[in-house]
Amino acid sequence: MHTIQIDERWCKGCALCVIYCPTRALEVAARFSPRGVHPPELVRVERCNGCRLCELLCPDFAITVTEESRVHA
Amino acid sequence: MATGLRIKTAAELRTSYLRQEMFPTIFCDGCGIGNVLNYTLWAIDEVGLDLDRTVFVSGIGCSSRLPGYINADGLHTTHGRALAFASGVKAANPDLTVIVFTGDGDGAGIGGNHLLHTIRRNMDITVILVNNFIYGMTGGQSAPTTPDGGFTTTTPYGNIEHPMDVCELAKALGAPYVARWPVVSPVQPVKSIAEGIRKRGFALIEMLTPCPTAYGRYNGLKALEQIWRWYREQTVLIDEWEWIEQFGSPEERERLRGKMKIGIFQDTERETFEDRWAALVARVKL
Repeated sequence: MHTIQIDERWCKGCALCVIYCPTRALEVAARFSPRGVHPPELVRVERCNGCRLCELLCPDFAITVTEESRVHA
Repeated sequence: MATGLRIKTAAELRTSYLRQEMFPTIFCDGCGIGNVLNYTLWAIDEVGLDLDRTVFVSGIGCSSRLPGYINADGLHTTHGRALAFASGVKAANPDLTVIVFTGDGDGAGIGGNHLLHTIRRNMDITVILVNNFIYGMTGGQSAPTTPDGGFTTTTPYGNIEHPMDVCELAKALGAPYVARWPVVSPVQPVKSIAEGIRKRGFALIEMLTPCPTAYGRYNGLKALEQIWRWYREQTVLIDEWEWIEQFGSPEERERLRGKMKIGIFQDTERETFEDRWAALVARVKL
């Protein structure tokens, strides 16, 4: 189970992450960010395999992939 | 059972390496120079460089804005003279790691002569030459690397000058490490930049960077997706290139025309300026 965090102050809405996502888990959101661009969002959470290509390819350091891991207590 | 988020180190690295107040970057949508910064930071992290002992030097141009974003000492110098300043820094204090960001217009055009002589001297510098085929910041004039027939503001009917191959030039001058990668694939440039930093002697890493605003606009590659795909299609790995040249059919060889070779072109050892200088000082000291 993975989630993405978008720094909306830095994201320019170039959608490179959406174009290059190998599993097509990301989509361009319909809403606007405070900068006035459409940020990406993780629509199909179950398809994200945490390859972090979007994170590596983001030119603006705006996207971070985090992994939710279970801790056995 | 409790669930928790494990923060990946990438975000932490970026917060520790970048000047947050300078962000967001000035680069256009679809520009790859931000990626070059990204890859350089990953490479620096892989090598384990101490940023307090690292100097970033740059000239003028889009790519030369990069040192301003890194939380380390930097020099933003005059047009084309980044390598001259970097040589000075390295000669005065050989303990520092010097990384130069330069563009194709800055490094190969206006500062072309500095490039020749810094390679000839074999200063221990890592040069990341960001090649976007154009003078992007000043409005898209043709650069020495503009491909044959490329449309720019100064060549509205197509470029008639033969483009310059910076990697072949560096190879001919005997640079110990020469590589060229497009920014569209992240892993190879990261490894290459790390190798270049580790390499004792001059390391040139040419990064092919899309410029949709100044170059793509005149050449039918304005859309981001299109220009990034173009870089993927127009580049051929050196091993494949050599294989086709040797064993390929005439059609395959015909397909290579106008494409760009990528890969590591040279990886050798050569005595550096610093070593020779130290030896000279020891020999002639009274």
